[in-house]
Amino acid sequence: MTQPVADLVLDQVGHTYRTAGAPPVEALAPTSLTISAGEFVALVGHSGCGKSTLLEIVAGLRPPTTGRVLLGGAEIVGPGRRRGVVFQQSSSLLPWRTVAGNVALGPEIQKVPAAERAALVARELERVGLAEFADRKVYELSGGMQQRTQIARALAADPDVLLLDEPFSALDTFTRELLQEELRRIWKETGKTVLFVTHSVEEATLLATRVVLFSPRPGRVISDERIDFTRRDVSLKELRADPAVVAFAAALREAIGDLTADVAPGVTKHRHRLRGRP
Amino acid sequence: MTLLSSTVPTEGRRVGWIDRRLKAAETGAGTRRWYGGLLVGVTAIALWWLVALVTRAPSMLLPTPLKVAQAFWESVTSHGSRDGLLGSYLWVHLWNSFRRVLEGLGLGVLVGIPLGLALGLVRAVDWAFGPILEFIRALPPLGYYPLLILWFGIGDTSKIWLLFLASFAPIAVATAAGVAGVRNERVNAVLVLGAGRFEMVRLVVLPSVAGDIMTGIRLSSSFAWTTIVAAETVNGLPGLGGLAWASQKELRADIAILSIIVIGLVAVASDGLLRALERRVAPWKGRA
Ligand SMILES: Nc1ncnc2c1ncn2[C@@H]1O[C@H](COP(=O)(O)OP(=O)(O)OP(=O)(O)O)[C@@H](O)[C@H]1O
Ligand SMILES: [Mg+2]
Repeated sequence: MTQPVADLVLDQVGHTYRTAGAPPVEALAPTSLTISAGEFVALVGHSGCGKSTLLEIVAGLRPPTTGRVLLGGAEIVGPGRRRGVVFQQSSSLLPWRTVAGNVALGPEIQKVPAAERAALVARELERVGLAEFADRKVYELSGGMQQRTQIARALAADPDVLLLDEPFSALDTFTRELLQEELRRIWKETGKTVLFVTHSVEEATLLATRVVLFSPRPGRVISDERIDFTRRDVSLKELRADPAVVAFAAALREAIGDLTADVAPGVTKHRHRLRGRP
Repeated sequence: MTLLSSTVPTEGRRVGWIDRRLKAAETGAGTRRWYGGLLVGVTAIALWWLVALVTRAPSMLLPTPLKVAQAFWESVTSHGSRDGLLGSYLWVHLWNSFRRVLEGLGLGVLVGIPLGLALGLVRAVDWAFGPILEFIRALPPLGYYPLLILWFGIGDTSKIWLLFLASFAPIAVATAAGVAGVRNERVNAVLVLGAGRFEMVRLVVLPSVAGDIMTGIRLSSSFAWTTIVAAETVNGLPGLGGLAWASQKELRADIAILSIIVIGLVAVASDGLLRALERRVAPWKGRA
């Protein structure tokens, strides 16, 4: 796998939804962030604060209403294969294709020769533990397996950046923990840049090298913390029990919880509190 | 267990309709059984026979099923100088109608599908042709049939034009509706994998609308059958419509009934075939 070198730069990126017959909704206040290649960034914040909007903008699926996004210095103007997406809904899988057929989409579009493509698909299916389900229809799979298929599909296209929008939110705790471990392993194996939206502070704490906390709508960055729990050479199970991890997750949860009551004063307070922990 | 369940009150209720749907989705099979139709069909024939006997209606007006069966026999045998009914065997009548439907419908498919895709995908096409299509679709085909006869004569050409005009609009409209129903997240999924617009159409739009296209063709097919039979009243022999129409001049109600039954059976058979195709091109419908 080639080592990605492209930094992702968000330059005053903001979005306002304008719906006819309704007042405009500013979902995302102009936001600037620089994400280095290989980082695992978790975006957390209240429901409706513009996280999905931000992810869609980075994916190129939604043009921002202010600012711009640069990947390796090039301005993002639309969707493209350097930014892979794992959608929240597994209905983004193509039901007329098998699991392997879905994973093969990226290589097919890139005109990879058939033999090479088969090897690539087999490798990615192996990676997410779906090798024996290659020939199944996607609607015959469980929710967890469908999300794994999506991850394999995104990886098979070999993007520089992997964008995931609450990919595990519809799964039970057990499956979710399994896939968290897998995503962490995949990230370590491939060294890809990951942008990961989640509602779970624990998930963010366990997986990310950086946690970006958004204020309620309009979303703006109110805390941006670098952490390194995930780099430790222990399983997520052990990491979960680690007091430092527990403490950081608790502080994060508190920071999010307090945001509902009062945004402005909370910003400085929780910045401070979060900084002190790790 | 049975002893127990008979004494225990029940809780909750089942709704057969959704149960059957879920079962059908799981097994991929249709839910309708043919023997229901057979039972009702046999009952109807018995009733018809009874009415014919009781009222002693002249067979010129209401023949018994036996008379119709005899007409069927007549239609597949040769009697001296004349073959079958009105100079042609039944299968010749059938084949002629079938061929006309096939040609008209085939042209309708060839034009309807690309037009429907263009309507759904290209705003300018929808802007220009959407309203006209609605207009054409609303017209009763037999209304413009006289014009077609004036332009193309009373031969097959005007009939095929008629069927084409009657069938391409429903197919185009069904295809366009299918395109409108393509799920955004599936389109986005291939765009983020690097697909261009033509690949997007090939990979997502076409497979998505295959089922809708088949639905449109089914609609057009039954529409075409009703239209062709009426159209064959003008120089339609040999042809099932011509046969039915001529029976009236010959005072042969048995032939009329025979034609009706054959037309109905053919229409049901072709719909069954198309329905099987429809399931085949979109087995995932209702499951994903
Ligand atoms: N298509 C749209 N039209 C109008 N407003 C929208 C649209 N999509 C989102 N919004 C508004 O923008 C805001 C941000 O939406 P977004 O989906 O980005 O939130 P989110 O942070 O992903 O929330 P969640 O955590 O619940 O997924 C919401 O308040 C929503 O009301
Ligand atoms: Mg969201």
